[in-house]
Amino acid sequence: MRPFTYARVDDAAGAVASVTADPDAMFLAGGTNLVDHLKLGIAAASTLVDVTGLTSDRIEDLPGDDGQEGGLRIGAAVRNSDLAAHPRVRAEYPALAEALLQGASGQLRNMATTGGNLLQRTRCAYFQDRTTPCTKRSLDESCSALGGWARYHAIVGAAEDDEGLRRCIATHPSDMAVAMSMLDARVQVLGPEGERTIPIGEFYRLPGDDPTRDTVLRHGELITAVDLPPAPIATNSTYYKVRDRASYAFALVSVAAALEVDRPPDGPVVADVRIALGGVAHLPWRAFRAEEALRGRPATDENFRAAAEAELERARPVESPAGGNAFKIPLVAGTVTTALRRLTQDPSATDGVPGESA
Amino acid sequence: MSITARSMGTSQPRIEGPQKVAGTAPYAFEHPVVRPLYLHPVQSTIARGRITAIDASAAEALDGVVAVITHENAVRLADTSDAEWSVLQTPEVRFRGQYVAGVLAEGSEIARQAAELVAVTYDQDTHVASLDEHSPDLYAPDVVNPAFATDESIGDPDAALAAAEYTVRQTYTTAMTHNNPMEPHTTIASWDAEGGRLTLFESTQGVVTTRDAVTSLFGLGADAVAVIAPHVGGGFGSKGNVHANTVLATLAAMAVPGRAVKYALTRQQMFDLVGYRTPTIQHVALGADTDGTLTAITHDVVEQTARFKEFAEQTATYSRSMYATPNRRTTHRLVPLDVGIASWMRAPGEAPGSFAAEVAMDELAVVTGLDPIELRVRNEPTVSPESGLPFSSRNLVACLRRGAERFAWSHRDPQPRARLVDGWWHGTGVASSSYPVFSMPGSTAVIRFHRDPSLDPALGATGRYEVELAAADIGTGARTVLTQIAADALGRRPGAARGQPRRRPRRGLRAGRRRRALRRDGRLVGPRRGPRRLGAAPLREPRPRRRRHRHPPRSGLGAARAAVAPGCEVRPAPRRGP
Repeated sequence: MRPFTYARVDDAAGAVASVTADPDAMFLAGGTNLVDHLKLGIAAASTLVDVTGLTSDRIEDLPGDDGQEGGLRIGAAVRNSDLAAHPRVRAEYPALAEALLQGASGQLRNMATTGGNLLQRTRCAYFQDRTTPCTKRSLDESCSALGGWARYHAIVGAAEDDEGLRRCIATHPSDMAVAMSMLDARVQVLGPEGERTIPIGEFYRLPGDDPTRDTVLRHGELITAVDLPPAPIATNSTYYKVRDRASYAFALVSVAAALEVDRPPDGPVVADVRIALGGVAHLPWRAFRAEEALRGRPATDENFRAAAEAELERARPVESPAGGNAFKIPLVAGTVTTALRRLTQDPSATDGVPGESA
Repeated sequence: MSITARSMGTSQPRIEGPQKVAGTAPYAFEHPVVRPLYLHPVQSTIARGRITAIDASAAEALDGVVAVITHENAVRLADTSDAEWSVLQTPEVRFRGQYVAGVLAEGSEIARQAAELVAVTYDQDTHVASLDEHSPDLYAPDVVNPAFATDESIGDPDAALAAAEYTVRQTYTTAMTHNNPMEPHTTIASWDAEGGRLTLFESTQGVVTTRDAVTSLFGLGADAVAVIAPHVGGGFGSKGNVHANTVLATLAAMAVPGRAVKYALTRQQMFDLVGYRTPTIQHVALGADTDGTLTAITHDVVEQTARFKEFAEQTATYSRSMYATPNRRTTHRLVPLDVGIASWMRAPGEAPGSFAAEVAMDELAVVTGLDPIELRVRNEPTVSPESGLPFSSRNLVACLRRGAERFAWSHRDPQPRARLVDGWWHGTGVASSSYPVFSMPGSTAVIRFHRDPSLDPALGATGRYEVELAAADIGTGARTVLTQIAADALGRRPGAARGQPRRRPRRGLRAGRRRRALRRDGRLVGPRRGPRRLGAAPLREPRPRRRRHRHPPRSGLGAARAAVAPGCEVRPAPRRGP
């Protein structure tokens, strides 16, 4: 851990200016991930500019079109626990509330902010241990998870060993971001050149030629808010997280899904569906292929499973004597199937409500 | 001496509860010391080999760094027979994460930064670090923890299995598990070079074992070491033994005489240095005749040990005394690996061993078509199957019957995987468990009677008793329970003095305080008083202890009526293993 300067400024623009001026400066919000990284020597900031109090910690209604209800604007400083407890989030975006509550611990959720959660970094054991080579920490190093302990690692989207590309199989750790990807969230950013809006589908990046970068944010850009567009489908949404421990663990595989079902007499049919996967890629993985495969099709386990398998057709799991991750392909299929089956059940029916497993 | 239980068994508020809730109960790292130095270790990045060079110049050049200790300059130990404790004595590296240097600095962050700057060069050997039961290095230890026979056999289990009406043969594996109490292992060490005295504020489950180990490691006289541990934030067995961290902190203190050295392991270091439970591979076979009576039990275990220090988890010993059978074999084999030490963790032996043995019994219940409770009842031994002696306590059959009644066991669906609930199979099963009672004779307590002239004899109180013993309270309430035992032994009632004296006794019975360590022979050693006189390190004056308790401590007051002479001894309760 290196000495650093701690700075407070008056407003968000001042924070952006301060960080922009110094290539080694970083923003500090809840600190639940960054402070660990400073201790572990993963991050080495010259200056930490504290943005506490500089961005909104409120959740506000956005105006809707043509008298329709609008979405939500979530201030970047909104704590994870407050976001999970918000009445409109619980009622209209339940997958987001569930995702938040399945992440971290109560204490961490009370500290962690919305903006910081989006920017948390992989928990890859090699990334977090400076004594092991890691291409995400340094482009001069190679990936230790390849041939190492790859249980929590990516099966899709990792760069091939092509010329100029570096293979990194780290996964993005955020549960919240998986739900927000499914919800088509829009990230509001303030930078040295002013404000811009980044759809979450374009916010994260695959490792490509530079695994050290997780997002498209430029140095000095500060997340000020996250907008959730109105999404009636999301009232019937869920987040299903599979992990080695029932609590306080990152996802092996997770699924954020929303489903709209038509109910003709011969059985429910998928009118619309959204699926995002966690634990499978360098970023929250929006399963567009699976969604496409399901629209207009009968809402059956067989179709859910086939759609998930179609999504993973190009999956490239890692074989390793220390623990590979080929198990994730059937695990994704099973998890997607279970999540969609839950969402298919007729809410007006009184029996057959699935029991929660402890 | 028989003791009438008056306080024992009743619900009492924790003696130290208010302090803990208020955050004023001092844990090892929190004892006030003046101008402490902070220690941060450098750990090996290879699993096996030797150090060829250490360059500490960049670390030493950092502002605030006071010393870097390595195997080249650390104090030589008087006893290096224990490889785990032989810290910084040789260039050998035996596991990844081993201490190879320590940095002392004026601040913990400086020490940590400097530790990153220490450059260590290695000559690396090939290592083996994962458990493989087919390893050619597999061997039988002389004994398993702590001193049980490695193997034992009665009858002819293989023949009995071959002839059995029903058999179950299964392999069960359990994962490596780590002890990680809330409070990591911590030490404040200070060395008075002139007086040759060492003081350790230590997070330990055993002040006496710590004192004895440090005394012999450093060749110090028995009176030269004081180990102080009023509160311990959990241990799960990992604080029952001295580990390398205590040695490193002591070596560091000896490098800077007169200054207190503080060292708290990081959470990451907890996984490297203070023990863990070995993974296990357990082959279990059960044979039974037509009515479910066991004819054979075999329980053969393979597990790992550090190559440099053996620890043999007694995993199969559970099967030696649980169920009756005429033919039995239990064995333990170890694979030595280039890994950190395995050690005590939360019921070593019983925890993984009972898992395998009891799952096998349930599988036998399925094979025989018997209710798993009935199966266990039919195989209930009348005496210990291992020793032939009667059980001091058991009650397993009554316990199973009562449990069955309360769980409405008879209404269950006996099929395994009886129903699918939201993608998860649900079913029912039974597991017994058993844990031996260990008593450790030779433990003693010292009790003093302090007359207090300010008390009103008309109210029946003339003083207080003070009890000292070298026990540990790892957060489980031992201090309170031991006080209750002592109170009953002294024939007084806790709380009798409530609201009596104007000037309250500062403290009541003090169970579990270890300002003064007790030797096994009962002789007190160490300083006579509290921290002020300990060692040479300048210690800040303790805060005045005059604070009024809104509710007086319930224990220890009003004990004056008891007709027990000051200085009499009571034996603490039998101590269980970690």
